[in-house]
Amino acid sequence: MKRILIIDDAATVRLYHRNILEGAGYEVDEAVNGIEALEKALLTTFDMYIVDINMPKLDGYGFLREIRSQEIAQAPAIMVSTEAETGDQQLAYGAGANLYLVKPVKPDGLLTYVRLLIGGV
Amino acid sequence: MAITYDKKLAVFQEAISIEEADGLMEWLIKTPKSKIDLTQCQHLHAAILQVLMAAKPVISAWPQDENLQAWLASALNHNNGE
Amino acid sequence: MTPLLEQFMSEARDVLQGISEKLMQLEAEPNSRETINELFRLVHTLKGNSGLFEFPEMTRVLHAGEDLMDAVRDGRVNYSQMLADRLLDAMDFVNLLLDEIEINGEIGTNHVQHGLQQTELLRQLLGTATAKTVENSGATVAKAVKKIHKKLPNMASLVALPEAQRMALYEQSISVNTLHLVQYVPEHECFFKGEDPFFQARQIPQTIWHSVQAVEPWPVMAELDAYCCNLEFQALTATSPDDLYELFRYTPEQVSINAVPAIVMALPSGEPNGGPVYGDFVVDALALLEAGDIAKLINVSNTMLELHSPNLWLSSALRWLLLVLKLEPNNHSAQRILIESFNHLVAPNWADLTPNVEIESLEEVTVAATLDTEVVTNVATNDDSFALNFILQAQRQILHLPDSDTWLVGRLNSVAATLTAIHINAGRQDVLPTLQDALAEALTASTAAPLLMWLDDYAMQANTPALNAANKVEPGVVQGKLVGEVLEGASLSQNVATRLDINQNEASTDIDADMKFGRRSEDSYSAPKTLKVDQVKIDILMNLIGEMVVAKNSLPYLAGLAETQYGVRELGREIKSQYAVINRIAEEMQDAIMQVRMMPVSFIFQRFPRLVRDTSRKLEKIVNLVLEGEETEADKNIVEALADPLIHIVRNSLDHGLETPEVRRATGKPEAGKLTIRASQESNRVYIEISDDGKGINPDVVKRKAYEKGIIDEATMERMTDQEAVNLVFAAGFSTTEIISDLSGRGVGMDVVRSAVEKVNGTVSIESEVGKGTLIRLSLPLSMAITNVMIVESADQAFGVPMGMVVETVRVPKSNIRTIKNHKTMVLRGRIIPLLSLNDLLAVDAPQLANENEELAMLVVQINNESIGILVDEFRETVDIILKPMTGIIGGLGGYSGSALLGDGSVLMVLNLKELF
Repeated sequence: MKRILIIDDAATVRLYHRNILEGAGYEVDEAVNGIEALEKALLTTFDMYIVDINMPKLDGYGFLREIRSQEIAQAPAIMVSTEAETGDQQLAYGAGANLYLVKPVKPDGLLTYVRLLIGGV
Repeated sequence: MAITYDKKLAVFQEAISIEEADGLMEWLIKTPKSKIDLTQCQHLHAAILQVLMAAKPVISAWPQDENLQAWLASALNHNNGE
Repeated sequence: MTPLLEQFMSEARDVLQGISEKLMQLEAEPNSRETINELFRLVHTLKGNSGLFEFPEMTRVLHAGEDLMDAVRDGRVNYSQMLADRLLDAMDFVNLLLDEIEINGEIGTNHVQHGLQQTELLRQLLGTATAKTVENSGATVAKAVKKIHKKLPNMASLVALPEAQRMALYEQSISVNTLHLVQYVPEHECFFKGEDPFFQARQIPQTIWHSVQAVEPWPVMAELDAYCCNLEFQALTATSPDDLYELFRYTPEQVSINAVPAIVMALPSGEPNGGPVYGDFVVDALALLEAGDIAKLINVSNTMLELHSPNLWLSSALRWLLLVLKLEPNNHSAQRILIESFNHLVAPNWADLTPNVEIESLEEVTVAATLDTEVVTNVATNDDSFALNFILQAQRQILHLPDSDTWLVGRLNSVAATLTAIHINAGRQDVLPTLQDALAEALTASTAAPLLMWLDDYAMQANTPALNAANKVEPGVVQGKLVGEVLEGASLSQNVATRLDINQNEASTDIDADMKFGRRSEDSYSAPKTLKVDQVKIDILMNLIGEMVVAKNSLPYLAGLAETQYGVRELGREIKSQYAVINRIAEEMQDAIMQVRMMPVSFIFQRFPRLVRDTSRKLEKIVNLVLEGEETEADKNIVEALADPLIHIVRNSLDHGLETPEVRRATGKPEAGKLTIRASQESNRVYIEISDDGKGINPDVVKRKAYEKGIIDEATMERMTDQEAVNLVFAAGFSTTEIISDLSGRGVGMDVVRSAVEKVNGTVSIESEVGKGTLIRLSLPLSMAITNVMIVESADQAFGVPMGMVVETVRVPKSNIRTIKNHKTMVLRGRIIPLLSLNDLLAVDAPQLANENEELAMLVVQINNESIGILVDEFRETVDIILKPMTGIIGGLGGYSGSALLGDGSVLMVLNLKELF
């Protein structure tokens, strides 16, 4: 089963993404900030990361830089932000995201990208 | 297909979605003096509308849908000096 | 409510509380970066969460709040008192919306305007000067609140409507202004949000005039960007603005709705018939209008009308003139314009006459996007080719970034992994060898270029070049292919993933299963340490343990029965020892459940910073609030019962206790008053102390007031100690200030506080020193544990009386009861005891029943250090019950402290005797 790590400090957003992805049959794990996400990424290979930007302790950019620079994970990472600002997108790509989507990502849309990137369940 | 292209005439049917915009633009660019038949058209996406507004093709037939016609008349009726 | 919405609600409340706390902290130290960042993050989180639902009003206000906090964070806007006030107001608004969601599951449409106001108030603080500019890679996005001045559009095409219809609309609109012009300028990026503004515009009901225009002139076809909305919709409608706001509730900032004067309908139409030849009429009519001779003007116009065919333009203009003269006799300018139109037979352009309509809208201007970077768009699509293109485009953008980052290797690997994945998933494994070549080369040379070239040459082209066809990078020289060799070390995570798949597919063997299991337990996520449990579930547990406690009490009886009735002494002893075990478990269980119900008093304390801040500002006082012992815990019911009395006490302190800065200075005190709320626990009671260093309570003033109000008589007043006098503030109907302020409430005194505290078996005491301050001390039980009550019967009903109050039970011969001054009394062991009948107290019209010996059952209770005899019909057993406070409609019922469920399933009402007298 494909596993996806959802990294977001907002419990509501995590549940939202979890509902969508589990509904499609993916296995989902959660982390509430970049540090916890790093710990999980070190222990487990995920097929994809869905990363929020603004988080306490270690933000999404920081998390991506860590996994890319220390070569912890190469799997596709989708960064999700609430802002459609060019600056954020550039930063996201620079940090190591492979895709930048604006919240809220509609369920169909998210699943399309996930399926294209890591295949079906 | 919601748009049927026939030489110089494009026939719009039912609802035209944004996915048709590229095709329509391409066709309008390479088809001078093109005509549009809207008789059976129920709705067209705003993106389609603006392609039509920019390209100014001849509207050979207006929609039967009165509300749509009223709106389109103000947008596409260039002969009325709107 | 769906679990997701429930999650949202509970997180939202927490976040709001956090925001309010952070704002308070910021007030104390306005420069704390940490607090500002945290505040931004909280508002940001809440906004993001609300965006998952259809709560546009909430999201909009929070978005404005987020922008504002972002500006504060960046130093573009300074923190100010006003900023805090507005943010707090905005959060109150959000709270209100949450309440509504809680009740109705959605937000009503009546908040649109209020929401816009809140948003506007926040945006004002951002100011126009601080337009946010993000510069990056040549793309500049500027956001600015821009005022557009706009005239009414020329609605000449209204003439197409039949004259009769226009006249009817005109007439209708004169009396009630029904005509509204909707101007709708969708944002450029709206298509990417899945919106169809044309569809939206078409939803405007009862339209009578429409217009669609380009905002910017159309470019030549080849340069047209069909995906950037460049339209402005306008419509004239006879719909109410409320309905229109509802229609546009998701995008109110893109819409302006303005009332339109009825006169715009007055457009003459018809046969022009040879041109203007009515010069004399025009001159005469204008002269009559000037002279104010309207009667004659009507006369002349009617004559003209009779002389001409009704189909003529002229006749139409005359009909309009007559109608306007009739319905708008004072609109001389309109009448003049209509008359003057006879000169050239052209319908007036009323737009020139009507005042400018000021349209304010938030406009987002994309200044330039020069590089091959698209301004980010949310491509929510289920169209694969569209999505595929978007992904390819993103990888291209990533590869275009500078190669200097230290994590370039990781980034290149991830791009390659992504590209590999999408090609595999699209069934295009054939291109993968070349991709591996390109990656190897890129990694060796530490540059993204080879991958970029591969992208140009080999990557599949999605069939709809929807987004950005014009922006393709020039194809470069094909180098990736020339390198040839596949580099072994170039690992692709997709390979890893594929291997994993195989592992899992073959997991039928035990070893694999174990491995998998081991791995999973290793990385299973740490379970949360706290659980949120619905209160109802705890209540059920409470009820069950209550029944358990009652039910176990039948065991000793059963043991006795075994011994005496059946003569099985052994069994009796056995039952007794079992009873001891069950009893212990039941008690521990009860304790454990009580523990679950414990919550920290911070739950109510957290309201005080805001309350004290708002109230003291209103009163122009300076107050430092000190909270201590917030972590002290008590039963949920106790904590909740504390909320109102505490708020009342705090308001009293602020209102009456603490002085204004001037007074304080004059009496040699520091300007800022100090209000301390301290919670602590001693054995099984919780103490809450509220103290201030204000002016204290003057016992003489209190005594006099109480005397004036008839609460005490003169003799009592004389012999009262100061402490007794101060205690008078708890007397019913006592309130020291004559002017009822809107803060402490409508003359509700401390007596309400006392009764609220006593309801949960608490006590309240007060100490005060003139000029020094006041201390109010609440003492409360730790939990609403099991109460021992005696069941009594009266008028065929059973009632509970807390055993704590019962001194003794006595059977009194009827003949021993004396009536002194209309009060029943009796002598019990040399003391006179006043007697009250429970039926009288409960307003039951029946005498108490005596037993066969003509004896009445009397309960001697201790109230306020006085013994009182209560006559009832019969005593019954005492029981342990769990007292539940009464809620809902019967919650306001005096005389009862609550109800309890008995072992047999019946409900016992427990009397609050203090309230009955």
